[in-house]
Amino acid sequence: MTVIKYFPPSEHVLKKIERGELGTIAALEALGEQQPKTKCKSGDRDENTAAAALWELNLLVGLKEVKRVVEEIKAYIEIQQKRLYHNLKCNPVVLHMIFKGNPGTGKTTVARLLGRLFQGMGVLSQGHLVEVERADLVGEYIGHTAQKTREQIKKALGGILFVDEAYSLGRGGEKDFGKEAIDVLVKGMEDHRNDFVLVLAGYRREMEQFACLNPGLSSRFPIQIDFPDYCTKELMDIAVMMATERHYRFSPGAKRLLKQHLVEQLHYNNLNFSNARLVRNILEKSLRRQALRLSGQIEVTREELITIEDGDLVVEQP
Amino acid sequence: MNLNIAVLGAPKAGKTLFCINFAEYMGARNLCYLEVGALGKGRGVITPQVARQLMVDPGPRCNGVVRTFAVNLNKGAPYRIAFTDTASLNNKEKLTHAERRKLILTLRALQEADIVLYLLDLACSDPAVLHFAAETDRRLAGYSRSNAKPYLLVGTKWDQRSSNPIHWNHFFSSNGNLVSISSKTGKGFPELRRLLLGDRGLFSVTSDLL
Repeated sequence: MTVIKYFPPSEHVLKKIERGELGTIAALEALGEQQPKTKCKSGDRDENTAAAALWELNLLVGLKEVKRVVEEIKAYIEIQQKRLYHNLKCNPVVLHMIFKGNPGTGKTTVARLLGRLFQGMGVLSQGHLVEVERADLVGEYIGHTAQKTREQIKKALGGILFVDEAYSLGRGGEKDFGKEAIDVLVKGMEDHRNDFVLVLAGYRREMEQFACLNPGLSSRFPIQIDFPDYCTKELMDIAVMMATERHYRFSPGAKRLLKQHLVEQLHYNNLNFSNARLVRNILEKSLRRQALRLSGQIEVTREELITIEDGDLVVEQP
Repeated sequence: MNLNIAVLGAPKAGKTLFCINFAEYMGARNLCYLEVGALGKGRGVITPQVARQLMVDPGPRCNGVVRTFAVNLNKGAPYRIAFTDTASLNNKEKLTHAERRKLILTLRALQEADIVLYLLDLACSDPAVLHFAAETDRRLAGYSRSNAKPYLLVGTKWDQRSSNPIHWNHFFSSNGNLVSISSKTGKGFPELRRLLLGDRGLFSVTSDLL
């Protein structure tokens, strides 16, 4: 058995007094500043983590609406914390969210960044992301679902529980256990209001149907973020960025070919278009093909190792 | 149910006499005391008369001691009340080692308390002392609000109050609302008792004060 040492929140203030760093007034002020009953208990503010997360978010291509909403949330939390400092009444910050968007529009990426942002701002203690799907929540027999879901919530305490394809919980008719999972999730949201953030993510159309199925559900999520599809220019930016991150570069011919392919895909394959994921898949396949091409050569220059030629691009339909 | 009341105040604000006399007023014939100080811990039972005599003749034992007097009540919701008579708060930038220890003891008592009383010397008219008292009072009010502890500003020595009234331009926390008492004559004790214990139970009454 591990012995948990209990340090009252003010212990470091008392230590400072012992070292003679604080006078009477300063000590009382330092004590008063600690608010053990608030959200701040879950973690200390770490400006660097928050700033880094925000910086990374701003580096993402497009997603203007998402960035604006995140900026808003951040400002709101900061003002609430400031109000708390001045002993003003403050509203509880409810951060449960619904992400709506087509595949590959950055839902998981943004959720991961949000976890770090909230941890840096002291809202969440850990800021980790637990990614689950229907199979992780729904059990096989009566009572199993609640147990499994509760387990996942427990795992996510202090961080974000990200339910991917959440609409699948609402499918399957009356007897389906998905409904039970929703009930447990809703209860968990109320019980651990300050401890974790629930994010339901899914494709736009399906999520809207899902919200219609459970009218109470959508009102419990004050923040609903829409992830729009990327346009061709943004997809090209993403492709260049992904390549640069991996220390590769497109040749001008390859760039032209890729752009042409993306335009075609956007035009003809609108429903199953997987946005940034498509770009990533193309890039990864191209890298493999480039490697194959280069492995046949006897001497390879640095320039050749970097460049992806148009012949390397895998643009045909999978 | 145990009710811990921390009594804080500047030096010579009348903390000890208040604790003893108020405990006596509440019906205590004997006081159980527990003291923590520079000379170690001590505990025992003492009558209020002897306690007052000891207080008048301050030996080395009396200085900077945090004393807890416990009062057992026969009836009423909280049936054991402990007054913690803390060491005085010093208005100094640099504290000596002994003063630091005292301050830590006081703050610990403050954290353990359910109710915080801050005693203000009404007989005092020294602006520096009043200024310090107001500063402390505001900090304490902030502390108790963020920790959800009832906080009361109590003016002592009403019978010797200074001729010019308290300078409220020193900005005390409660906008000039205080319970004025006199430990010597017992003035204001019934009101304080009502505020602390209430007719309907403690917390329903004290919550109005916040």
